[in-house]
Amino acid sequence: MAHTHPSDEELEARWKQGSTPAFSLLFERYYARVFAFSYRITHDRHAAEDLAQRAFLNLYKKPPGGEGRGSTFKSLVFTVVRNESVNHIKWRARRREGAIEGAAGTPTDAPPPDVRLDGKERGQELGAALERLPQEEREIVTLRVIEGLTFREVCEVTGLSRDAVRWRLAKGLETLRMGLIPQSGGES
Amino acid sequence: MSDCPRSELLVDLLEGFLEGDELRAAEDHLAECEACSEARDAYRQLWGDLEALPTPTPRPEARQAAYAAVLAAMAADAPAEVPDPAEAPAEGAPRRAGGRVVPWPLLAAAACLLLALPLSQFAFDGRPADSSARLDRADVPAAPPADPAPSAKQLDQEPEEEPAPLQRDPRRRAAAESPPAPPPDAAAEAEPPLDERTQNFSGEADAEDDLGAGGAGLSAGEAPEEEVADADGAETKEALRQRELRSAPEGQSSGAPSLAKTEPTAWQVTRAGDPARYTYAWSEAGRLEKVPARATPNRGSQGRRGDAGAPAPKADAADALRDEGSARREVARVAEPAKLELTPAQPGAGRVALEADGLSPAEAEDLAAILRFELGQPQDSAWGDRVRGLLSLLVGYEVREQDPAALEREAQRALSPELFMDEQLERKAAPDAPVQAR
Repeated sequence: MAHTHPSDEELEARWKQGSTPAFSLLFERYYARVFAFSYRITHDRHAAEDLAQRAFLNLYKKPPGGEGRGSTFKSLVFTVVRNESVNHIKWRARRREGAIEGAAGTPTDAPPPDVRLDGKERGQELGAALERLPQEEREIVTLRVIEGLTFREVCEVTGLSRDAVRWRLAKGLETLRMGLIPQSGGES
Repeated sequence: MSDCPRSELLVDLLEGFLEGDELRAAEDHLAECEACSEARDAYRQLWGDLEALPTPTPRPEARQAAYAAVLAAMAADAPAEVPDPAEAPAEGAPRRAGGRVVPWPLLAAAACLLLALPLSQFAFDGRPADSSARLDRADVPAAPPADPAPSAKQLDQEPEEEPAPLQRDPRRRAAAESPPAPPPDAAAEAEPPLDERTQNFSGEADAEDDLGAGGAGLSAGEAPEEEVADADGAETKEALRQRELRSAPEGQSSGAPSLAKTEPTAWQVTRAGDPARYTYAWSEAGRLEKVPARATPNRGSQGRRGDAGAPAPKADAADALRDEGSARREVARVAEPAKLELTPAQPGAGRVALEADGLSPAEAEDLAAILRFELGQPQDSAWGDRVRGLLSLLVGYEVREQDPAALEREAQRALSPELFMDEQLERKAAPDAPVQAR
């Protein structure tokens, strides 16, 4: 008997019918990924853990409805955690408002130590450059390149048009490329 | 350089978006322009480097907590357990408006099972002896089904067993039974049969789930604040969460414990319709003691079981009562003062207490209320010890965080899972809502 695994969409369908095991599998497939995505957006490990958990709870408590949803489960779960993360960033910014000028460089925004220490030099520099990207560009680069979502899924997750995603992806990649040129030895 | 394609076109090229004349024009240009050709190559290398970046991973305990929270939500939605006529609801037992069970104790119960932490695995410092072992598939009990592939039939067949985490004294049960698999870190390729890992916890979830009514959480499709009409919902929720954490000792609604501070570090616990029954008190040795309300808390450093006056029942009687329901178990526990104790500064003490009894749902609520209170107190030198001790009891492992801000954040996270907050919101919305049997 062929050893096949149910697709996300099959599991989601079962989950909508009330299947606990199906949801459990979806959790296993995506929790770590959405945490990583949220972490790259929020730069806050605890917040990312909380947001990833909250995203799954919300997915369970308010299952996506509508026959014409037209998006994959992958794009759905990333959408939820992206929205949660963006809201968290705004909430955090409001808390800091007046107390701290800007979010960049604050302790909670420091890139994860394990990421800095475990990567090679170029990887470290690239990770740092990614951290410095504007949030929207960082979101799109992360979703498309690091998380491997399709271009369409990135549009669904971010709610942006194809051209907007295309433009921001290009801008983000170009910023990263230019930021790495000195380390690559280029002097242009 | 004005003829050079913009970076968007290079991305289009990498993405395969260009066709026909556009593609030919771009390729022709790249063949002639060294700068653009190098840029394209750099993009390709950059793409690969980004893919190879180290991936941040959540802490195992956070992963397990999230998994447990989801399971608790499912358990809360599952059809009610078949009521045992001999087990009448009692005062102080957890109740749920809308037919749901107290989320926080459930969360703790589910967490205990799903942490896969039979207490024998705890090292003496209160932490799992080998956290990785808990995620090892070898620890999962043998699965009944022979077919490793989760077929559609298997997916249809939810386990019929009574959800174990919903039983009283979950830690005791967790220690007695083989734990279900926590969410493994392994990729989907290693997925076992579905019912293998859910045989101990799952229940049928309601297909028509109405949890979260009242706007407590973002729905799947909701956009960030500025993109939704009712964007203030999340903000209100966050504000309410903070208020809850600061004002919990007052105005508890029916069924929730309320606290009366009788001494600087002692609280008399009262539940609606029930006279004050016991007091939680911190001893000078940093031990949290639970004593009958009429007895004087043992303020000394050696408060042990039986010190506080009330005679302790026979052990076999206590064991018998323990299995007969939380209400009677509470009676038994009140008769055994100082049974609930934690000495975070002394390795193993908290573990022993937990292993001996575990937290009942009512006790979990009590401790959560005390913890909320503590979070609103000045952060003096003993504040960290008190919060660490309470939090350790609630989460089931020893919390060692020293930084006050981080500790407070940990505690707030533990106290504010979505389900717990939903419950508080529901109580606020309908404080007099009748308890409904399900």
